[in-house]
Amino acid sequence: MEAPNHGRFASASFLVLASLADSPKHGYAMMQDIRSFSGTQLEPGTLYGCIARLERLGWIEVLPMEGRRRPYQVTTAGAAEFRRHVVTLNHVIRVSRARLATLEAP
Amino acid sequence: MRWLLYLYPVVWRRRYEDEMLDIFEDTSITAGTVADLVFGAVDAHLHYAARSKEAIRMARRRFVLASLGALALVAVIKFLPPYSSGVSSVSSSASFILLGKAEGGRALSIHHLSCAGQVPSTLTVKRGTLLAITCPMGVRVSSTTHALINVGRSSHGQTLYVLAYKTGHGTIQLDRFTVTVTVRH
Repeated sequence: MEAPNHGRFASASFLVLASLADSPKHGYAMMQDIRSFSGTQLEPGTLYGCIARLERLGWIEVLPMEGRRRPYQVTTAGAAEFRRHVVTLNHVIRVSRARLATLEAP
Repeated sequence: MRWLLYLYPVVWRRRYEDEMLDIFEDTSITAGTVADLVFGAVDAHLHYAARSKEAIRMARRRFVLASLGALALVAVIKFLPPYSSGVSSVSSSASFILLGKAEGGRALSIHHLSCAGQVPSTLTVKRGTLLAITCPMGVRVSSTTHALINVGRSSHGQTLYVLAYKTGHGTIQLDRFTVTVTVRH
């Protein structure tokens, strides 16, 4: 099956999954968490574009309202996708480090 | 900032509007936020509204209604009683509508043409005349402006019915005979 195309939301979707992998959160909490661990400030339009996509893919699901906020959590399928993405990133980082070493070698 | 969310599709707003408005209360709105919302709205129209279950349900409902409407129209045309005003049975019920439309409900006049008898080289008929053409060797009808339209065949298939539908000219080929037809008011 062809991997879904997230377009401009690809890296933001990963950040949302990373944020929810820790614990369920509502939108504002996700924005704050993502800014704290990645330095990236997601705007509401981008954030909810990601949430809509991830929800449609079945990688996150909505939980019952908590006061006026609606939290989300990652699903089993979402966790598997997140794991797969982290494995790929780790591989990319290993290769990049090796090539960087080659590049910087005297 | 609610007005900015009006850019988003209705199905999207029903799902996420309250949450986004909640975030607007806790964050500062910058030019970047506004631009991000505009891009987000475009993306939602392209990728969310077209694929949301609710939108798909609505599209399916519209498709079913349109299909039922089309079927109903076909049934009405198909099962209308054949027009019986001195015209021997015409196979196509759709011709009933054409005949009625051409003549406004008045009785039609029929002009017979046969390759067995004398075939005129030119023929002038009034609009609404039904031409009953009999030729075992075959009949070909042509007109560029719908002056002549093929209505159908008799139940035994021997006679072709052609309606003089609009003013103009047409040609009827009966075997080796060519008849130039002029349809007038």
